[in-house]
Amino acid sequence: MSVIRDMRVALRERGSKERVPWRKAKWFYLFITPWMIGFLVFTLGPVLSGILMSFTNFDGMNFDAMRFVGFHNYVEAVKDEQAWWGFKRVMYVTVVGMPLGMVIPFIAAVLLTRQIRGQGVFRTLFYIPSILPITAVVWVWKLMMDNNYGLVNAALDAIKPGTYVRWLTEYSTLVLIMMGLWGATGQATVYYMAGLQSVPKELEDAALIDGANAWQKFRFVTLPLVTPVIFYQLVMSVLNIGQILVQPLLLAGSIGGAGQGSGLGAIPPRDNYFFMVHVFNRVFTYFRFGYGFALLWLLFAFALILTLIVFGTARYWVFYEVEQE
Amino acid sequence: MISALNKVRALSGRSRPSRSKNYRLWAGVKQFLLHAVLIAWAIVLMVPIAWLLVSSLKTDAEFISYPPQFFPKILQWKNYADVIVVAKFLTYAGRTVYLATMFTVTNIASCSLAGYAFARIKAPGRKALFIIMLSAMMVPSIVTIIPQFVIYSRMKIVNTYWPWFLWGLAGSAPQIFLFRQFFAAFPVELEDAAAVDGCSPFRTFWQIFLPNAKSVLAVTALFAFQWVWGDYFNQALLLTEDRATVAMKLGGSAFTDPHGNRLVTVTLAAVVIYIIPLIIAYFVSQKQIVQGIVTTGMK
Repeated sequence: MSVIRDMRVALRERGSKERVPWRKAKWFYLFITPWMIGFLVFTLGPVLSGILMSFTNFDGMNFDAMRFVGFHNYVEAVKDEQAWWGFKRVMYVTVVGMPLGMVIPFIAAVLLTRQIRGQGVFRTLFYIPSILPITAVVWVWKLMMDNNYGLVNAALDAIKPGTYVRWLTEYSTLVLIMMGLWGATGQATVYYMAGLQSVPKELEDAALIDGANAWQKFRFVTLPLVTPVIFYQLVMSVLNIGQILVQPLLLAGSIGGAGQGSGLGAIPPRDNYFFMVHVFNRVFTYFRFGYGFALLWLLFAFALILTLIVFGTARYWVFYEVEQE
Repeated sequence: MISALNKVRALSGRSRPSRSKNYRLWAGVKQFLLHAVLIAWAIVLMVPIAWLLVSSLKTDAEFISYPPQFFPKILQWKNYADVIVVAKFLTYAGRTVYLATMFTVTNIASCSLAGYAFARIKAPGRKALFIIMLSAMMVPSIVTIIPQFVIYSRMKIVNTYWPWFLWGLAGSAPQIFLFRQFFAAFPVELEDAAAVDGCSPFRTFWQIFLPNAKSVLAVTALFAFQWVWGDYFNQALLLTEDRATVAMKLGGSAFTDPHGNRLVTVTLAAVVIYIIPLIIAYFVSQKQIVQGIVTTGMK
């Protein structure tokens, strides 16, 4: 994707000195000041203070009562059974959901870039779920899967009377994965389509003339040229491993009002008690800001290691054209 | 492409009529199969939304009836009126629009300036800062929101609209990147001419670049507005019930009437009203939105 490409270009050119008179250069610093302050206060500051916080018993309010506790939070985090449970649930969603979340949009993109009648209509329909905000997506899926009033159970009941599946309580993770796939497919499809469309037609035609069949053309010409996009998708999803938080909180609670409601204070069914839910719970319910950060950094370190591994594999399968200088 | 291929075959003397007839038949079958798959797939994607629309037109009694009643006897358009009258939708939507406008204006101002600087003004450290800016996109928002929450509560601006103003001013990396890409494509002569005329960089930006960036401005504004409109997490975290926005209301349980009874289908109608502006915006500027998404690699 263009962000990664631009970063690579910028990294390569970083050494070259730009000699500019101050009366011109000052405008640059002036123009980026709002962003710069924002970056320091809202990104860099929080990251650094978050690292410090994780070594304290900070409760979010009393700076006076704050004490350094060394690695105590980290030791506790490693022994925290609920955190491990949340981590396992995250891994489950990742192992089941991530491959589907990459393959399904890719297939959609391949189909949607074929020359067919009504292409525009199909593209629009495939994208529409991605437009909906999370709260709307959750309502839509509760309507589908609600134990008592959902369409799926209603349909099952019509086919085989008496069927009753507790989707939102017993299969909550499955519902969450389906919801995620439904809501995110359009987005990823757009990236893949952009990648597929940027494959030069001459190359594909050349392959066909050389006697390649459609599959060979796809496998040996199209696919390698799209690997940078697949790589980008993979990196982004690995980097964001375990960030599921709002979906399970909103999906908690049924339409009929049984059980606890949905929202930030909700406790989702045990299957949907993901790592971030646990972190959120520790921080904003028990006011253990320091401990919450220790948990966060452990997860982030894990995601970072995985991301580096993915980067390490890149040279075996990601195809980069020689960039023109 | 097929015809080009046939032409190549004809030129190379390898064209065989029987084979090309088969080929056409096969192409027809493929088209049919492709359509069948896409239609089935589109239906699966659209059923949940269609079901939302249908359900929003039922009475609550129809909604909870057993055996299930798939379609309403009479379409309850009244639900949509009740969204406004009973559920006070406009109060909540008004707050969201207020927040979103404030965020959008400050966000565009900040991002267009920074994007212009990164694209057009040379200065020491520009590239390093550019890399830092792009890397900031990789930091998960949950990591930054907790300390921000502490800052806001120290500043005593939790449960005010100030955080959105400040977030807007701080800009956002994907949008800065979008502006930067757009401004980088402008011809150098434009700047040189302005410099000869004695324009300051700010005037060059304000009077020459910005008026020619309407499409990016529109997309950025749309993204910013959409973000606030659809964002549940930050609003629920920082605002309380007396400042509740639409996203917050729809993230909780159903609306209630003054007696505390749940109004489920009215809430569903509210969800429909909530998503209509987004769908309209998408239809109006589909091309630019997709372009913007692809360029930034972000929503």
